[in-house]
Amino acid sequence: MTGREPLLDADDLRVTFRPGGRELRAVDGVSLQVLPGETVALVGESGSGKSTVALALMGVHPLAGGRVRFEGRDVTAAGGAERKALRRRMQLILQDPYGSLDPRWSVARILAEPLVAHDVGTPEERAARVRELLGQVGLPLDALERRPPQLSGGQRQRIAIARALALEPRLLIADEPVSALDVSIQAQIVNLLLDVQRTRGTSLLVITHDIALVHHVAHRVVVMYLGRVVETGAVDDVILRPQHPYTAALISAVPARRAGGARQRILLPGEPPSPLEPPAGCRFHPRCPIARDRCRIESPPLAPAAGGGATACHFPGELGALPLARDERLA
Amino acid sequence: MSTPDAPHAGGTARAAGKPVPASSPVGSPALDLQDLRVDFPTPLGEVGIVDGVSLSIARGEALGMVGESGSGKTMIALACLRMVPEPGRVAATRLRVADRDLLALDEPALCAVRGADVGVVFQNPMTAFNPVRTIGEQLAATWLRHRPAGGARPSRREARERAIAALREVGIAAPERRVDAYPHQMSGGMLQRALIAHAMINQPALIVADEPTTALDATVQAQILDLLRARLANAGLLLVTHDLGVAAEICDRVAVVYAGRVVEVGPARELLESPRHPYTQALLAAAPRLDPERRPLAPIPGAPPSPADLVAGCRYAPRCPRAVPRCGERPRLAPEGPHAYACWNPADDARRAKP
Repeated sequence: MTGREPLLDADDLRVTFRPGGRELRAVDGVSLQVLPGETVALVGESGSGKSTVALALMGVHPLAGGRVRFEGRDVTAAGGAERKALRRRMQLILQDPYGSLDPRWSVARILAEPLVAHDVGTPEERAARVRELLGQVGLPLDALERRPPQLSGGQRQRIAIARALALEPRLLIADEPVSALDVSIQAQIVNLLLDVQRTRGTSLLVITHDIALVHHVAHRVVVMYLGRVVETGAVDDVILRPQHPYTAALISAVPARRAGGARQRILLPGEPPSPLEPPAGCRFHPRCPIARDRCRIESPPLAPAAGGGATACHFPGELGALPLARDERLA
Repeated sequence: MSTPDAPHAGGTARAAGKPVPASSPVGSPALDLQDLRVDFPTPLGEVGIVDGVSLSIARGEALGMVGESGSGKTMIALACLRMVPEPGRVAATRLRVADRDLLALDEPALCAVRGADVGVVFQNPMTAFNPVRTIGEQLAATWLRHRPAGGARPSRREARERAIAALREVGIAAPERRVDAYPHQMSGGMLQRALIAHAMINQPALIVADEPTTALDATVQAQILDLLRARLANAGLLLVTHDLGVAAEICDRVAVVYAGRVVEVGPARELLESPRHPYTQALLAAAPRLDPERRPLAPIPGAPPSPADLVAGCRYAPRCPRAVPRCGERPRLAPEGPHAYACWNPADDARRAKP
């Protein structure tokens, strides 16, 4: 970590749901930090709690424990006016641009809404800002009068991004921002997000299951499994030298984009268990290829690991990186 | 082979090996498709969703069909089952699965083919099974339906044994218990295994799998892909996917589909290492990969055309950086041989260009 003060500092977050009276710890002691201008990727499979973290940070889910600091101030219990002020500086982009935009509203109205809600500028200034936003996300002005159903998926996601940028936030939280889009469109949106970050210094927290995307966009990675952080560190350390066996397996599951299947794969047995009944000890132990007795009993804490990151494993690095084959660097 | 909860599973395993079918290929190809067209009538006239697609898949061979949404890849897959929805019209000069001519069959005869000669694995296993019948009942029913007429009717008990054996073959632990489970009692990955068991229970000549891992988590996706490859034996596999990486990982050959046409087809490795069609190249350049160099992603300008709005000639030309005047004329797949591309101005052979 550099000496910079984190923009977002979430410590020991806990979110608990009670479906049918049973306790479900969706997020169970997750800490993460995002520095100014940094991209952090929060990675996990379905049920890992990664999206719940995003919603908890935005104040959508109440916290059962933990603390959130933003720009150095404790905003854990922020509500009302304070929460509203916070939303100017912290914005969310969701996966599904079909569901996150009101189909009856024009693009102009969608983009002006945050400005109106926060009482920014005169109507003329707002209209000018809306046009500017549209240009920023690479859409023509004639999109202003269209409605979401008249736009393609990629165009809709651009509108969602433009709306999130309207108030010039310092932090963008993007939950699976490209997974609903075709490959050729994904690249447009990823480049747009990277461009926003480069030109405006916006911090990004990208929530995704896509390891190749993580590798491409993130500076640092936080890997979650069943509500907990199992590994965190600089992107190259985590991807080239994963310390946790789950991280190693996730990386090895990325299709190699080359034929022959010559790459070694770590095939995990089974599927992530239900967060309603997390396994005792290390939550990953039932699927872990190197689990031993200790793992079945004792839950490993997140501890500093080789390479400067941290991992929650009793035997870090044992099931390490499978080298990326040379010929994966297809030009 | 991985099994979901058997003790020996896990650890490092080689990713699915390449073909070498367990037994040598026998009989006619699994799929022989010549000049397939699928047309839908619209108020503006006929719209060609699939326009002149030819594919063949040998026994024991896996062919990946890659395309973006709207490319027509799912329609091609459905045509192989003669299941294109109304009012779509299917025409082809040849559509054969094993030794059956699907164009000559009426609906009852097609019903006898589906589930017997062709097995199908859909994207979402939650909706593929009937929620109010057990997995075992559904597997047994598919097996029973296709027993040859005339022979002794197999008992229910025998059918149940077959269902248990089929579940065991796809790596479901304790199949004698799971056979009585309802779909909602199984996880997504286990249901997808059961669906593969269902597709394979009558040892079809062809298996059509449409995005079989898209709804699954990454670590489970790896299991299912390995399973499909490992269990293929003497069947042909048509794997429909939007992910070139997934196709290349388990398939022998890959066909890239754009706007209802195959634009490039070839051995998987060759296609990835030396794509000749600009669209295949663009697809590869647009996807992030675990590459230490982190090249910037190269988006494809524009969007895929709507089927009602197609240009004459090469349909990719309006988005293509290599377009030349001749692209106004329709390019055919060439050269003859395993690696063919429909392009007037193909990219250089990357493998030859290397020093």
